[in-house]
Amino acid sequence: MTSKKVGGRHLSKLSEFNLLKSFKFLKDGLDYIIRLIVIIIMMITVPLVFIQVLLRFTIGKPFTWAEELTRYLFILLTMITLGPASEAGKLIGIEFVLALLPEQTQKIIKITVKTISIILCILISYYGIQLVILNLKRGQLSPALQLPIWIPYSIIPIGLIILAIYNFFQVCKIIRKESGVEE
Amino acid sequence: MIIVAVFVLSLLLGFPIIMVIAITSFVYIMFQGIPPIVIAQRIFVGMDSFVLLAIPLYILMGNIMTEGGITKKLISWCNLLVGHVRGGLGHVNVLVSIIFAGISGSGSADVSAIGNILIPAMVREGYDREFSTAITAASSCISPIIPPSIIFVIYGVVAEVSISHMFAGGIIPGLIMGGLQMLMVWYLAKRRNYPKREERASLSAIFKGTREAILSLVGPGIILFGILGGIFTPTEAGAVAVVYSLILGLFIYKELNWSKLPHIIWETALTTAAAYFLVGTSMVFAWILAAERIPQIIAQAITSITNNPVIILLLFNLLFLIVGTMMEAISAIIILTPILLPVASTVGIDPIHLGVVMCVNLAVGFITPPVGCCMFIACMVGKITVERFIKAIWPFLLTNIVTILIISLFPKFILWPTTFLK
Repeated sequence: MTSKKVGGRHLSKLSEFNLLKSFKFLKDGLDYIIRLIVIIIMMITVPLVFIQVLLRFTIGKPFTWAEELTRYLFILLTMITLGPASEAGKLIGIEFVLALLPEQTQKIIKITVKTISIILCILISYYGIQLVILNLKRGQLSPALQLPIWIPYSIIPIGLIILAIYNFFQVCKIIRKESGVEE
Repeated sequence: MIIVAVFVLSLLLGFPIIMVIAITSFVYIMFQGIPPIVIAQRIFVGMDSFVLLAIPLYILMGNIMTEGGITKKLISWCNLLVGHVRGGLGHVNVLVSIIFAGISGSGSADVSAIGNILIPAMVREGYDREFSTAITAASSCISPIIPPSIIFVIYGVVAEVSISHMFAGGIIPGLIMGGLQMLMVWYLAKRRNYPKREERASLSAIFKGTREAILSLVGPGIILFGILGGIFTPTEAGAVAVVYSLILGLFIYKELNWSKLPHIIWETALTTAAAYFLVGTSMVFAWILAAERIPQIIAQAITSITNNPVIILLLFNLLFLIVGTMMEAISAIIILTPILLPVASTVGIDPIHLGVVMCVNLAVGFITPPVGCCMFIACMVGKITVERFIKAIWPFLLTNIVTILIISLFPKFILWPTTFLK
């Protein structure tokens, strides 16, 4: 671990700077796109559910496709927001046990936890992609929207990969802070 | 055995709960040689539910409410009614929480909305900061108990019981908790000689105040009777409430403006994602528990000691309280429900009774260290340290625990209102 860090510091300052900069660029872009999609989804779904209530009272017959659409859109919203949610500290676990340990150990555990999480996300999304492929071959359609079912299924691996990317950013941040403290 | 070890170890290492469940499931599935495709599919199926939509809607509603000026109207109305009793603003604090609970689905919205206005007001009138903060936090526990409630929705989804029945079951426990808190406020106010408003509000003043606050008061009514009367589903009620609070905030009280909305939506999405995905992973978890017959093993172990549902429920209470102090409520429900529900059914505890008792216990965990979310928000709003908070909160922890005992021993309080539902 230490040798890696030393190696990293031996890299020319310029290339390290560029790498960080492109990371930040990538993350900001991702953040922006996710925010935009989330706001659009909310702007569609909330009025839609409300209109459904109104329709049921007035005509007595709401749209058949609306319920399924809102369900899928919220799964999409959830999965793409997982990454930013983990960054914002919304994915909580039991943290007070960790807080009892010395700071250096905490950092190592945190990095390990994030790394395992990344691996897990990639593994589950790998099998998620297999699920998508399986359903692509079967050609099954969703009941109301008549949407090929592989499309909503593919939200799961996409979201988990985004989560893995965000976790990776967090690991970088912890490591960078650590090397900063040592200097 | 390996599964249990993986579960406990990953929990203690501070993995997010969703990752704890994912790792445990993954290891289990690998050991059993089950195609791992199942995980992704179960997660999807777990989240693919219209009922769950209620959660983002309730969170959104709470966030809008916090910004939208409704709280102010409610507070001045409650002050008209009970401000003249000794410890008046303390009573106002509890009463507002009870009404606010009828539009808000979680405690944290309650603490920040009410605390930001009432804590400074109370300190100005001569209450000590600790008491003001403690009563704000304590009364916020009522929010997730009186419908609508996010944690009730989660329990309903995981336990596969009717959300409307859960909501109906929460009304009386919420009122008992509020009532006992007001008694405690009254007692402490007498002993510590807290201020009161000198003159009682005249009938005409109350009438005038009610007319001004009526729009804020109608909201909880629509939602409550809409859900319980079978007019709306809990999800639809969420949408109606969001639209209602948006209209009030944007056009009538004008405390909200369009430029605040993207931020509110984003905050809502962040909280939603965590809760939604937890429910998704919980389906994997429940499925493994069932496959390993873990609930049955635990049920056997417990029933070999005692068959008395009261004793078992009291033991559960102890477990819920301990878990509630360490774990956030949604995660706790997701982990505990599939394990304990089968046990409860074997000894004849009604699933609705178990659900409401569990949720009340976990709501009390909101205001206890080390992880109580309402405690932290309250301390931030009230500008006191957690240590000072703890010294002031214990009388209210006592009343909350008494509430738990009452509703555990007398299931009628929970189940009677559900008999009115179709």
